[in-house]
Amino acid sequence: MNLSAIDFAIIGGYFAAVLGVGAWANRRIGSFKDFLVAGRVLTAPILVGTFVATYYGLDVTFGTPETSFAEGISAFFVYAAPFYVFYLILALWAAPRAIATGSSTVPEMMEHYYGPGARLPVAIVTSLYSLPVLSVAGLGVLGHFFLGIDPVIAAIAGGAIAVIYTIMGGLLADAMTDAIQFFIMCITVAIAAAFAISQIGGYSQIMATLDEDFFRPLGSLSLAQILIYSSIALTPLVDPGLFQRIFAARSVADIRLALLLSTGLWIAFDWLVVYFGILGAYLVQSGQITGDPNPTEIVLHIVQMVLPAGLLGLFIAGCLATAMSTIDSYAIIASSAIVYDAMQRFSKKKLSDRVLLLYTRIGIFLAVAFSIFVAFRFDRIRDAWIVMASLLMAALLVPMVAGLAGLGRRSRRAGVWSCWAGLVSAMALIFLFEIWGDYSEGLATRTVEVAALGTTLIREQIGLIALPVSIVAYVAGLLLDGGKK
Amino acid sequence: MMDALVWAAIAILGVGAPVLFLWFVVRLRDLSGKQ
Repeated sequence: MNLSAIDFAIIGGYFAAVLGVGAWANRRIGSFKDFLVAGRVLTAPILVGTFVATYYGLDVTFGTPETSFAEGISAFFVYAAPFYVFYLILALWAAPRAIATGSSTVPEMMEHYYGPGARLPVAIVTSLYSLPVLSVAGLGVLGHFFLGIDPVIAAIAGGAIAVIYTIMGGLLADAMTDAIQFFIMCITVAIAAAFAISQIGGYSQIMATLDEDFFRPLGSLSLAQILIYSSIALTPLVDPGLFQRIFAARSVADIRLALLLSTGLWIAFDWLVVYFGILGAYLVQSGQITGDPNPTEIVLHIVQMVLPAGLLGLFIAGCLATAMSTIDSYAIIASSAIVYDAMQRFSKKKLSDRVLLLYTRIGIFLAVAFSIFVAFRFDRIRDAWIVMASLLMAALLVPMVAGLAGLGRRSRRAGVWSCWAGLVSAMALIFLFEIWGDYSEGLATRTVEVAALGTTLIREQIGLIALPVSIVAYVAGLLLDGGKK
Repeated sequence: MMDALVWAAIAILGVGAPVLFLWFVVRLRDLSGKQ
């Protein structure tokens, strides 16, 4: 597809802006803590930008419409809405408790609760979850659609720019660029939706054409499926990206205000991207989009139809912003979890600030490079997210929520065991699905037949199987410690 | 009703994001680290 000169100018301007911020922030990095938690100076307006831009990546911009394109409005009520409850729990309950531990990272907080033995498994799972796989895959989709280039090349090019400014400026550059990226991503989605509803039509027009199942809030899903899908909404309670920002905040009041404002923006964002997916289904059904489009690219088909030159470039910059704001933030965490929480903690000689900074910067590069390597292995963007969220929840949900609830001090073994048990069982299941699983077109997910039980497991169940293992391990540790530390 | 919600969401993002961005710019000095 052909972009105009003004589109390229806007995209070029965006790249120049984020690289400029990286260079500016680089001069303000005095120590490793400056790099990791921006010296704990983030206030509400900066936090809103960084929460929204970091937590919502292209997995939402492309992945949510991909779901609503196939399943309708339940993409909002089943997949997105349960998250809002947990954002509020995070704001009102978990964040103040996390700050009170005085930690800088999630593994450090878990060490506070369960002793040094908890730090390594938490660092491993934090690092794995934080690999920015989904957003680099999204950059690939974007480059392929608009420029016709190989998705891997597009992912490498976009990933490289995010790596450069993050390596230069750490969390400060990350939070600053997030503010710019937040602005662009919100504005562009709003503009695209306004053009789409004006030029193509709103729900009142679509509803007559599409199957009524599309507009049932819970879709055609069974209660068990709804519980499985909506259980993923627990991830904000353990998401290391959200917690890093909580640790970097100046005060609890700043976090609360920022999370409440962010939740309002996330609801609006979700409602619009769900609309894009349903609009896409309508356009396909009414023959206005032909040629069996890839559901992941449905948003791009719509914006290409409705946006004029200039605004199209702005939308692409918005997508780049959405992806890169997630890549930079999570790459810092993936790297620091290994360097700061594992290497530094367990090395005999304390690593100097200079060495920590150097290793973390190398780690950021490796995290993005590895993410590009695995990004194109998944059938759908949402599948990759489910695998990573399942891993995080299986390993961290039980010990972290117990720790935040004040139960951690009662048994060190409980925390350490539950984390290892969740991590190992989730990893084993992920490999099981990769090696013996098949992709089911009907269920739109990977499945494994368990002949002995006469049942078929779907990949979304990984977390639900591994989580009880983690609970059992927690209880076993608790019993063995007899309630004593 | 659902169309009104689409317009409401457009307004929240279209107005909310610039307002918050301005707030961010005004409070940029927070990043200097002074309490």
